[in-house]
Amino acid sequence: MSCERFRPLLSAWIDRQIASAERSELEEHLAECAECRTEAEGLRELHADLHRAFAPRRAAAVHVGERVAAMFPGRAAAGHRPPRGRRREWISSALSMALGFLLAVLLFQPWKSERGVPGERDRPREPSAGVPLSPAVARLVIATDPKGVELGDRVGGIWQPASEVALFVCPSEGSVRTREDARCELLTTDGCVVRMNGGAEIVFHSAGRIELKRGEIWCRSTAQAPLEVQPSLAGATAELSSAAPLSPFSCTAADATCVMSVSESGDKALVTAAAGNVSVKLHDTSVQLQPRETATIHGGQIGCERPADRLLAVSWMQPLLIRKGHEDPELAQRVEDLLGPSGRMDLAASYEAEIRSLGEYGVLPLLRSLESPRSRSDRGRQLCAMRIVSDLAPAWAIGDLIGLLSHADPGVRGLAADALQRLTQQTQGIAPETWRDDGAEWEAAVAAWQAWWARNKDRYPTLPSASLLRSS
Amino acid sequence: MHSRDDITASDADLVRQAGNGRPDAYGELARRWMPRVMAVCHARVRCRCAAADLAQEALLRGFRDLVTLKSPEKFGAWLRGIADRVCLDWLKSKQRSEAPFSRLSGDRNPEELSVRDEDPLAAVDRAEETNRLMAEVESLSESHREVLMLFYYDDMSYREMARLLGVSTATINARLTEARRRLRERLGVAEENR
Repeated sequence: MSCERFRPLLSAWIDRQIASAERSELEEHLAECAECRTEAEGLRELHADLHRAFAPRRAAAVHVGERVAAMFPGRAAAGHRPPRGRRREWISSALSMALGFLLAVLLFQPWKSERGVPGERDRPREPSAGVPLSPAVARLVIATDPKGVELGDRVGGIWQPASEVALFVCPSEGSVRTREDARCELLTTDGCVVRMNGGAEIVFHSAGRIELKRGEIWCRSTAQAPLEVQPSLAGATAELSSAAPLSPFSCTAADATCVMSVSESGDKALVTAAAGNVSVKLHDTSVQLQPRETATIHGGQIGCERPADRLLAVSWMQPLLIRKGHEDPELAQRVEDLLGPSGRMDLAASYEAEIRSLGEYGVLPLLRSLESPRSRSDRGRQLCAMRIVSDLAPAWAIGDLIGLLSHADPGVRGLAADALQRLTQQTQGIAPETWRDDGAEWEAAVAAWQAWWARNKDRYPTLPSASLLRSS
Repeated sequence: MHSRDDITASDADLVRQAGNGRPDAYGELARRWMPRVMAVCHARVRCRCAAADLAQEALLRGFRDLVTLKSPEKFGAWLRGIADRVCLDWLKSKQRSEAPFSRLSGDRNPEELSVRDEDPLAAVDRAEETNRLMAEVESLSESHREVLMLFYYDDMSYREMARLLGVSTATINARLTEARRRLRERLGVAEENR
């Protein structure tokens, strides 16, 4: 009778989840009952086995928890560190940053830069009507639509489309704006890159100092040339002049990448640090942003914002990357990042859609990523890459696809065979399903495909080079 | 693992702090809840390799939608609901995306699909005994494996589990007892001991 009473408590007793009164009673019973002792011993062994079996899972959970926690600044647990201390730390590092920036500006004196745009020196300067003859501070590198990018004279208020300007060079105090459907990339004479989303407007006060009037921009500064971006916020902007501070707010990036936007209403700015040192300054206070951290500038305050997904937030730059050609390293890196870890289906679907929107420009980076160490150790990732390749590969990828017929992974072989059938209407007598088997049949078929390719490759186009794309 | 003694703020406190723009509160919630969410995900999809990514996705989705949580005291149950949906999406999507592939057809155990997945501790998991035990745990009924996984992923107390799952501590005890009984039966331990 007592065995029936105590047996259901054994599990809780082993887990130390039993009330002390019941525990004493149970332990007294165990001292007397050999059968229950045996049962308890068996349960304890199972508990130890389970604890051991779950050890790697627990370690993985801690690891992933730390990974997620690292996405948010302030590593200490809430309540462990007084907020004031953290603020002081931010201010202190931001002050050093500001001092560093000031030093760099004084040393390099970007506003006095005499360096012209490459190739510009040999050409007669033909300023367009209304654009003053000031030192050049930036040039247009690439645009999705040259008609949609305009160079402006801030004083005269005259705007000219890039397509009508012989040499699109932005002088100091010159403005650039993009139409809603156009994006462009500018390179400053200091080597900083500024990309403008549709509907953006900026003013180059110097090569190292930009005012963001509206819209969204992405900036990459160099270690030698920090870039200061000042949002033009309603109610916060002082009289514009190159000598006086434009706005009480600014964002400084040194050897860093950041995205900044001004809301449509013009009363709020967002700054997201993507990499490197980015600080946001308000009067004498400044905060340093960690990568993937977003700061808001609103109502005279600097605040924190939940970070948007860093990859999806800059989708608008993809058409610019495409125009740099299949071999562009930044494009390759973006595809590699978008492939991400397997299993995160919600984001993975959006990421996959991003890669697919690159069309055939995603194919070369995907083919290369198939053999990257990260993909080799993650089958889901590898298959995802191959699935997209199979759907999007153009004719210039036929040679690569034939190479993939010998891939160790049956899924990759099958998808390569699918793509080859789509592109060539050929199967070499082997159904695509067969390539997913482990039999010897497909090994012989590889030779048939290679022989076919040797006979036919001249009929198919080769990978267009970046230089060809640019001149077209 | 996080020691309970280290926790100075309740979940509700942390949720409120996060809502007030304290990023470190998100970090603390992530550390505290990742093992539990991972346990829930593992129990739902029965695929240990996918559990980490799904748990991360659930947690980030929860953080994104935190403003919609009206009762911060119910953060755990709310997050569990999000994890459920993330897992359901994953299972549906997995069915869709892998159906055409003969090698990856739905009649295979999801665990087998992930044998090549990156896992720093895969070597340990490959040990035959551990694999067999884990496979048996994964084949338990969902309510049994969920309680078992919550307990072994995070050493949750019966009271904490009861609150999270919305049942009594007696139910938690009954489920754990039954889960262990079935495991011993399947592993042949019970017979050996008789």
